[in-house]
Amino acid sequence: MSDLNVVGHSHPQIDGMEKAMGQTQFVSDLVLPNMLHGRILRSPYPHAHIKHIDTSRAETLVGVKAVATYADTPGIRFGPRTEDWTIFARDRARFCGDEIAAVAALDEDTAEEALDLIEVEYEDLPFVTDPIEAMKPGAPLIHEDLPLNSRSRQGMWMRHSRTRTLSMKIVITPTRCTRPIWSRWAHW
Amino acid sequence: MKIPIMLTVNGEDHRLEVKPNRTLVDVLREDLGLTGTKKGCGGGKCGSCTVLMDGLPVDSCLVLAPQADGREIVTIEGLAKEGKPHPLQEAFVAKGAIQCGYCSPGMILSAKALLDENPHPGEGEIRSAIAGNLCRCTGYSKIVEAIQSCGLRDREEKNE
Repeated sequence: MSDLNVVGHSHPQIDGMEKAMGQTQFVSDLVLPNMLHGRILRSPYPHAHIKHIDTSRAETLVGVKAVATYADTPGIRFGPRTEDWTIFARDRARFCGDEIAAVAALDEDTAEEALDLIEVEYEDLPFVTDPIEAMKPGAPLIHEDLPLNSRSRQGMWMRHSRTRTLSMKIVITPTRCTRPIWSRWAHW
Repeated sequence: MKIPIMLTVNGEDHRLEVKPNRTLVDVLREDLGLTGTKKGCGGGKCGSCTVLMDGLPVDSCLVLAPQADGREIVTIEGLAKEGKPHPLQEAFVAKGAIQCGYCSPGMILSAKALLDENPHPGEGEIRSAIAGNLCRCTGYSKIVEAIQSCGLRDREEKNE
C-alpha cells in the first residue's frame, strides 16, 4: 500500500475549498451576455384536465422571446423506471406544480408578466393525496393507460458477500404496503 | 422611485440606489456580483441566503435592501483574509462537511456568528445555531464536527 499515491490515502475534496469560499458558480449564479430569463407556468390544481391553452397574449408581450407548451415538443415519454413523464403536461395536470408552459424573456419581470398572460382552461378532476387511497379500486387514475395507480415491479437486487454473490428477486405487488424494501438492504 | 442606500459589504462601502421592494440577497448577488450568497427558497426557510448583518446571521431574502442601509454586511466572500481561508472554511473542507456546496456559505456564516459569541460550543448549541440552515446532502454530522473542531482548535491554541 505504501507505494500507492492515491489508494489508501486521504485526499481533500477537489472542489471543497472553492465551495467553502463561495466561489463555485452554480447555474443560477451565471450571468452570460444576452442571457434570457425563464419562468415555468405550473398547475394550481392537483388534478385537472387541460382543455385549452392560449399563449398568444404572452407571445406578443414586448421582451418575450419564446413561449412553449407540450404542443411544441416531440411528446417523448421518459422516466427513471416507467416512462410516464412528458416535459410539459400533455392533457392533464397531475399535481399542484405540474409544468404547463414555459417562457423565455429579456428579464425576469417580463417573464413573470408573460406567465400571467397565458390563459389556461382547466377542468377540475377528483384527486387523491394518500397512497393507500390511491391504490383502492375506483380511485382517480393518475395515468389513463394503467389500470391501477401502482406498479407491479420486479427488481433484481444483488447482495455481495466476501465468498459468494447472491441475487434476490423481489416482487412488489399493489396489495402489499409493508415496511420499506430498503430497510433490509440498507447496508449496501 | 429608487431609494439611496449605503451598504458596507465585507469592509467596502457601496452607495446604491434601489427600488424599495428589492431584497438584500438580490442586491448582493445582482448589483454587487457577490454570488457566494445563495438563493434557495427565497422565503426565509432554507438559510442558504444567510449573511451577517452587524454581526448577526440573517436571511438576506427577508431583508429589504433599504433595511440594510448603514449596516455592515459580511458575506462568505468576506471570510477569507488576503486569500487565506478562515479556520471554519478549512474545517469544513477537512472534515468533509461539504458535498454539493449550496448550503455551505450560509452554514459557515451561521457557524461564524455562533463562534463569535460562543467560542467553545457544545453539540447541542451548534445544532441549535445551524437549525435555520438546511442541508440536503450531508445529514449535518460532518458540519457539526467541522464547527466543533474550530471550537476545540481555539481552546488548544489558548492552552499553548
